[in-house]
Amino acid sequence: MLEPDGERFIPEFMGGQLIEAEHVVRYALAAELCKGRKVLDAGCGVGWGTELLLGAGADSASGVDLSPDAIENARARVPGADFREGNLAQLPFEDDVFDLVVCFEAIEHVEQQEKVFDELVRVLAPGGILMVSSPNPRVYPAGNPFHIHELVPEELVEAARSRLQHVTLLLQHEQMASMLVQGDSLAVGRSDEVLLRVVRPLRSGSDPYSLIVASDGDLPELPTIVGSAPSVLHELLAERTVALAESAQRLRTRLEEARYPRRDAPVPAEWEREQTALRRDREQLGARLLECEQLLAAATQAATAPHPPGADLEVADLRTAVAQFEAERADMLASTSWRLTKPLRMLGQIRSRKS
Amino acid sequence: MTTLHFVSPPGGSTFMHELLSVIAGEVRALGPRAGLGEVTVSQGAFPPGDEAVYVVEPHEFFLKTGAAEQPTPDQLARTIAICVEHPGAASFGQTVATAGRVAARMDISDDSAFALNELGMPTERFHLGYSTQWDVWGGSDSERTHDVLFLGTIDPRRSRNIALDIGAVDESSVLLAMPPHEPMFKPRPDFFTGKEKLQLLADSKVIVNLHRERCRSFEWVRALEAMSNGCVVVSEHSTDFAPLTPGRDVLFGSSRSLFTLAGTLLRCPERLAEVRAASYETIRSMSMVESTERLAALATELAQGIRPHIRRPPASSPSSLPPSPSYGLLYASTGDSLSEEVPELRGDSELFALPLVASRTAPASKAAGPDRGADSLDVLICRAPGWPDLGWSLSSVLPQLAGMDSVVHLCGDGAADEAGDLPENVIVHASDHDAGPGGARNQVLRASDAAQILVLNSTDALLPHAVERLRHALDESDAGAAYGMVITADGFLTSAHPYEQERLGRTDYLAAAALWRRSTLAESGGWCDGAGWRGQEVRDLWWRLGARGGSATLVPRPLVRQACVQAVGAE
Repeated sequence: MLEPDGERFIPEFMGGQLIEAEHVVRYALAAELCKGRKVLDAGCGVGWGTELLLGAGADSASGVDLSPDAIENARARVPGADFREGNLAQLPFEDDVFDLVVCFEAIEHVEQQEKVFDELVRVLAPGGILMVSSPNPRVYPAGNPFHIHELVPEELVEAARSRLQHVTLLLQHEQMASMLVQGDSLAVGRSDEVLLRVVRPLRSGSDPYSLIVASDGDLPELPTIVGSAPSVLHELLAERTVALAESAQRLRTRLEEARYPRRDAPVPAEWEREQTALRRDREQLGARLLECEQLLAAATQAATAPHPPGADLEVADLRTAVAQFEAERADMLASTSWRLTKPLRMLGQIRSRKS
Repeated sequence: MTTLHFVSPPGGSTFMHELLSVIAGEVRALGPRAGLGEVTVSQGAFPPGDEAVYVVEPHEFFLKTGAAEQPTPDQLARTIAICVEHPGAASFGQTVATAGRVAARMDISDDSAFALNELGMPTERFHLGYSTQWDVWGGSDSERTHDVLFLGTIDPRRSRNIALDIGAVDESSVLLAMPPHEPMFKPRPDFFTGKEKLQLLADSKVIVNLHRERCRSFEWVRALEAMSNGCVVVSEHSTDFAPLTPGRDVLFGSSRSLFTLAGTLLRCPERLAEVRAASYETIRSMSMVESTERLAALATELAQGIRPHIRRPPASSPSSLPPSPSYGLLYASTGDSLSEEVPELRGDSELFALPLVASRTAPASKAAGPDRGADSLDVLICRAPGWPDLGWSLSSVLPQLAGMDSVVHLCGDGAADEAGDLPENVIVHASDHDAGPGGARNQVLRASDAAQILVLNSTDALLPHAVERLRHALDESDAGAAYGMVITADGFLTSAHPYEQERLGRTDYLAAAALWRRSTLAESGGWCDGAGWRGQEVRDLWWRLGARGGSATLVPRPLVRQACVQAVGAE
């Protein structure tokens, strides 16, 4: 069995959680439209959605995914479908083949999204229906490492509208549900007898996914659809509570041992090793600190000493040099040659200003 | 011939008097070339004499001398001040206020000489140096009993820095002598003077030097006394330490790591010996002759009525002098002095006749056994509302009781909750809430028959070897109790001074942590447990110890670290 890596939904591992209802409800909507149609599930993963569509009356079902492992798993899961390994940006199908093309939660995983849209439309038969969904990055938590670019609803609509005539946008909201049934009478699949009572109006910002339905032909009327799956939340919570209690007990025992050491309790060997290492570190750091502090003291002394050695001599030398320079300058200014060359210097100044 | 009188005020600082005596001795040693007659050292009023010249430490002398003994204007015109205080200390302000009254001034450090000159008081530098009067060591290879020594009055800054870093020398022999910053009228166990101080330095490997308040100038007197006796100086970074070489003659460091550096040095005996030898050699080359000759010359000029020309030292350029604060006495009276009246005592028999309120949750047979010897020691840990749970203290105590005949008694608020898997030598006492900490402790006192009882609050964690050090101190003395310094939760020191009943009347300076002789506790009547004494039980017990003529001995190093106490009822 394919192990879950977080990139794909695998019902065997993720069933009973909200993610199952999220994924199922999109295929449930497609199932409403697939009867008698040739269907392509683009980005089919392990094929559980393809299986659902085939079971809902599709004339034929094909699936394509980049992962060989997923395709192998899908082939075993749905022998009646045609699964192919392939790139969404280069679909391994002829033009105009499918009446319904679905691409759920796959577009955000690829880089060439425009090319993927082109390909999805290429394999769509005239008048066929395209359904594409993406996480809505305005609501969906950031940081999924498998997502290259999540499309906001407007991007999805634009991508479809630039290729197909009619586009409808659906926003997928998260809901809490509680169901009252008699016994185990509710079957899996479509259930016309369920009365849906919306307890509170939809809340803005609770739509982590968007889905477009598009076609060059007329679009069918689309129902509001709710996907439900039994929750395993209680079991998960119970398991975690037990695990936490066990962990807390272990910690408490260790704490008691640490707080109230027995007189005869042997000191663990790793503690002794740790202590030895810490002692060695402390000694090395202490020695280093000691040397650094002495350098600092010496440097500070040198920087703040009022008369560093040789300073007086340097100052005296500088004074002599300055005095000598001043005397030479005075001699020069008083010399005959300096006075005679004054017009030349003025001319030079005028020329330099002009240039 | 000019007579030179070095004069200290009556009741003045021993430190100042000793310094003037040393300088006087060095002037005398000049002999005839000083051109002086007699050189004397005295305390009190100026000795009379028309040709007499006087040397005083100005802030000491003028502030502590009564009005009747103050010098005449004529005498002041023949007086030289030797200034020793540093900018950054409140006492420097007093120096500034008084030094202008005399005819000439000399100062033992650069920064204060600079400051006085800047303030319009011409002041020469007096360079201290080696004196045989300070050297009781003589360069021998004698054994040194103390590893680390600290000498100096306590102030919040020193207290905090010591508390932060003292853990670095837990395994070493440490002596912190930190008297309060107040006049010393009589000998104190934490204030060493004269030959005793010099011998202590000769018996110590390292002395840690921390500046007082905001001073930064190197404490030359302390350093010279130490280095003259082979005690290596580990000092806070300083100004004005030339001609000493950092790393060769003296070790410098940040105020927060001096004990770390001392510990590092102690672990390297070769380096320690090198620094000791180098510093001794360096200071022996530092002569005081030039300064003492100058002092003699100034004295001669003054005696002859010549206004001396003061040679200002080259302007040192301290970037900024620290401000001199007005000293707030940390240990001044808290204003809630205990009554002079000693509370009525309860006798031993009365105490033990009290009904046992507690029900013990563990068998008392071990604690109450009849054959416990003189070396038995029980630990009493009490918790009051808002204090940390008993584990904080207990976990530090248990490892130190290994191999001893000891039982740990937990009592007070929340003790009964301390169920857990306790070792067999721990007994939990349920408390009567109305009894308070005093009553809870008394319950345990009745339940224990050990010869010595270590009393702790649940706020107190013992530092390494605390039990061993307390026992040693108690065994070596005839005091009723022994206690060590306590590092408070906010990082200062308390219980830092020796036991003085008189001081307890002014300030609550002794914490609960102490090792008591059980007999002393019983004779003192235990802790008061009346509601009116709530919060004063510990101070009251200490007070009554003195009232009965008893005393306690201080282990001069931190032995306990306190945890925070929550304000009960505060949200």
